[in-house]
Amino acid sequence: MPWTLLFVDLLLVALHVVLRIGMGLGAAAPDLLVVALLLSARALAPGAAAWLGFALGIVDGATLPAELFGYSALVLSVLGYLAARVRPVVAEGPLFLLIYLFLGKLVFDVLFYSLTGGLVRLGLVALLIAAPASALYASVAGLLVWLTVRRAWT
Amino acid sequence: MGVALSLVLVLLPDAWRAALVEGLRETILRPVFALQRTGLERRDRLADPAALRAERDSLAAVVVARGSLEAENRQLRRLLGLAQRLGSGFVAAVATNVPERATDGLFLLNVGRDDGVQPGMPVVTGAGLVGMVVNVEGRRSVALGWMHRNFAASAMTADGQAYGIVRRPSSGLLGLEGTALVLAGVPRHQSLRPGTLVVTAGRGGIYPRGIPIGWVEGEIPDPSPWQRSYVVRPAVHPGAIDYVLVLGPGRPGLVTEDLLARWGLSAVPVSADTMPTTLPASSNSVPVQPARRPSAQPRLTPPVRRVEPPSRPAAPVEVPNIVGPPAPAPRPDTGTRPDTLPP
Repeated sequence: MPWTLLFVDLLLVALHVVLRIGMGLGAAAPDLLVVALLLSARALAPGAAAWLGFALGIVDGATLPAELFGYSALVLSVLGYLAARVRPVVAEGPLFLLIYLFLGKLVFDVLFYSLTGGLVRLGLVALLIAAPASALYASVAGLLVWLTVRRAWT
Repeated sequence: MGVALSLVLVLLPDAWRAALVEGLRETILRPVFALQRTGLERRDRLADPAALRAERDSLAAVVVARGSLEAENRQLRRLLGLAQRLGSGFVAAVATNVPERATDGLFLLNVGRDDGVQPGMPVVTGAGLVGMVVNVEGRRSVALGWMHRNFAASAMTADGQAYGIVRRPSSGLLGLEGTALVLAGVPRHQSLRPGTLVVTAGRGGIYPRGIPIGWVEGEIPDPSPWQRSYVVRPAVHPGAIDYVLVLGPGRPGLVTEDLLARWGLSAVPVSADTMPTTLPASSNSVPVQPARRPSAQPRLTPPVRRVEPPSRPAAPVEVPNIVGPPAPAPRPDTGTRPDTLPP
């Protein structure tokens, strides 16, 4: 299971950077780093999930302007820790997983924008429109990933 | 621990964080950024044709606009030079085509009676003769250009050796209508070389002497055994009749002057017996000086003497109505000294 998770995470990270950076899609591609973290956090201890978030945050920070480096790592490590913590209260099933991914991505965006000043700069538009839309997009993509991986496992 | 380390990263100096980012981009993310560069280059290449086409179109538009500006500038400079040489006795005007009569050789001038313009006044550009004013209103007038079927002017070669009448070619003649004139009535014994400059002769009291009309291009058959006819390429292209000068306002005696020098030209000295009289001079006296093309206008010396043209006639040419059909063709430079016209 850990090796499979590691493989899926690497695949999602590679897809994320290739789609967003390599192919220049930017926000048109789903945030697969958050998806990878949230899915992995369901199988990891809180500390390990925080480390995973830190590692993914380093990768994400390297794709952002240098002045934002570190914020992704901070937010993702916190998110990984929290996601691993709430695992027992999240029920199984696609719908619950969808909500879990949606909320996880929403929390990430709100925290990240808050720390980097994006919330002030972009205002309510970012909070009420951009963040939920991005969260919905990522949650649907995460659900598809989860369904695919679970089918492969079974 | 991961959270604490992240906090450390956030609190690092900007230069250190920039170095870390640079290091990551040059190592584990290098293939991704290489892919990004490739994608951008490919996109640029794909976008190039459209962008280049747009740039080319913009450039073509600029070049075309600049070309017309340069032509206009050249025309205005030439006109300005002529105006300075004339000194006074003219009105500058803008010429536009008469609506629905553009092909008739009539055009509107934005000056009229209030500016001192009267019917019969010559209209010129820096290149030469355009025509004459035929209809005058308060603030505008109608001019008849050399393209008009009623146009005619007594003419001579710049050296005063040969005289004749310049008019529009008869219908169907060599397909020259609207692009060339015919110098008719030149005595048979006088042969003109291609390139000879033809100017107004100052006879008839309409056009002052010495306004360039055009250049001889070649001879055409003349039914009369005593005369020769030549095709004359006009000095003023119809498309260049935008800014003109109306000669005469405030200078009543202008029509009696010799304007050859005003165009930077002068005539070759000729003997007295070759000067215009009732008969053209003998071709044995001084050979015809072939003139050069407009790009290199002839530099001739002043004439020894010239014939004083008669005064301006009261109504030299019938005035065509702007909106009505053109008036019947009048006799060129009519009513004055018919005996001085070449036989």
